[in-house]
Amino acid sequence: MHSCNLRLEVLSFTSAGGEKSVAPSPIVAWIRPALRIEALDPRRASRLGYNRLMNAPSNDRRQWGVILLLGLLAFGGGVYLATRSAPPSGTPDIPGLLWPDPPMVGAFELKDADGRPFSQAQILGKWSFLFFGFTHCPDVCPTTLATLKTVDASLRSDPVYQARGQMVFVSVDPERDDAKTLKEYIAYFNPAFKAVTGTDAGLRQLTGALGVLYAKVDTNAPDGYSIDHTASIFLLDPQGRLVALFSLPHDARQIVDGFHAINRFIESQS
Amino acid sequence: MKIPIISAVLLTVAVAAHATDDCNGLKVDDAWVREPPPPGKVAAGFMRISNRTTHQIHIEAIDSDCCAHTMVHRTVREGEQTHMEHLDVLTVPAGGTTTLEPGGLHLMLMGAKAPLAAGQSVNLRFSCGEDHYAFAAAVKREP
Repeated sequence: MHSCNLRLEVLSFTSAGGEKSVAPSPIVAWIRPALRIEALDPRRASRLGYNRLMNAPSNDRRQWGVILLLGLLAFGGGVYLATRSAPPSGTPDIPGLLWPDPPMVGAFELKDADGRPFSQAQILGKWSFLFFGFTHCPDVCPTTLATLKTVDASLRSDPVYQARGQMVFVSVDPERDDAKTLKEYIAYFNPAFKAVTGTDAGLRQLTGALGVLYAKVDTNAPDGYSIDHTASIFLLDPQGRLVALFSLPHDARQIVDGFHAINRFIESQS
Repeated sequence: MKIPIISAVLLTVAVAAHATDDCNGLKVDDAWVREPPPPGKVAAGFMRISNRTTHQIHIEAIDSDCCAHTMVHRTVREGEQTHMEHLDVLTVPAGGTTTLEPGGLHLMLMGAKAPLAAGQSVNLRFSCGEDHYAFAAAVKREP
């Protein structure tokens, strides 16, 4: 994971609320495809030391040279982004808010647990909480979905959420998470939640736009592999913009309060 | 001069052997297993493990009566990423407590013989060398 994390730092900048998140910029657009390939191709990720804790570390000096070089480039880029992306005065101090210039979700093609298309059209016009994980995930995914269940219950009295809110679990393990599995899994938390997945290409379209990373890693578990993944909760506004990122550890009250504040702020901008 | 050195070496060996060969002094509180959502392939277990002795206790293996495989993992957060780290040995510090909790250290229970459901109880056993410590954990559904 050394190399990916190194470059994650490059992609970071300080959001209005003081949290780090991805920044939309030409530099990010330039770096992101490389990141995506490394994160999605387990062989390449392993070669680059991504599976640090599960596999023996590589001692290839050239690899470290490349990582060092990229690190230096990344550091320079990060400094540039941090300087360039400082929030202007007047932006409210809301934890997790990504403003100005929130990343946009473009076209993508996934399927929900009923086999219906889930694409940009299902994002536009809605306030969407997105969480990326997999059903074999023992700890973070059930914990986060239980938190989102609490968030959903709290927001049921909010007219905006009631009319246009949705919770979406995106499985980054299409190999094991078929439609039937996803349907049963998500219904355990809340049948109204959506569970979606798709081909690698479809997942790349969405995860690439949001800066989500995931990678298969070999484990000693009997089912063979686990998946390292971004565990933040993403909030998209009705225009398909990533307007907030809620990092671990997730707190339902903070997310509910954040939604109210962000909703008011975004409405005031339109 | 040789006698004190030999004594020190023997004492060190004795203490080390004592630290790894028995579970005496272990105490487990508030053990519970999260009811796994379907497909129920893996469940996570949590607890507070106290060590009432003056030496470390090394838990080298864990068995359960519910599942084919039981091991200790740690959820590690690096930036916005998370990954799982496998622990071969769980060490409980002298006079201290090791807590297994959501988002951190946890038991991984895999290969359930039958679906785990809230209200059931799982029997677990720690192995410290040849010695064992047995206890039960309640299966609970999170609210």
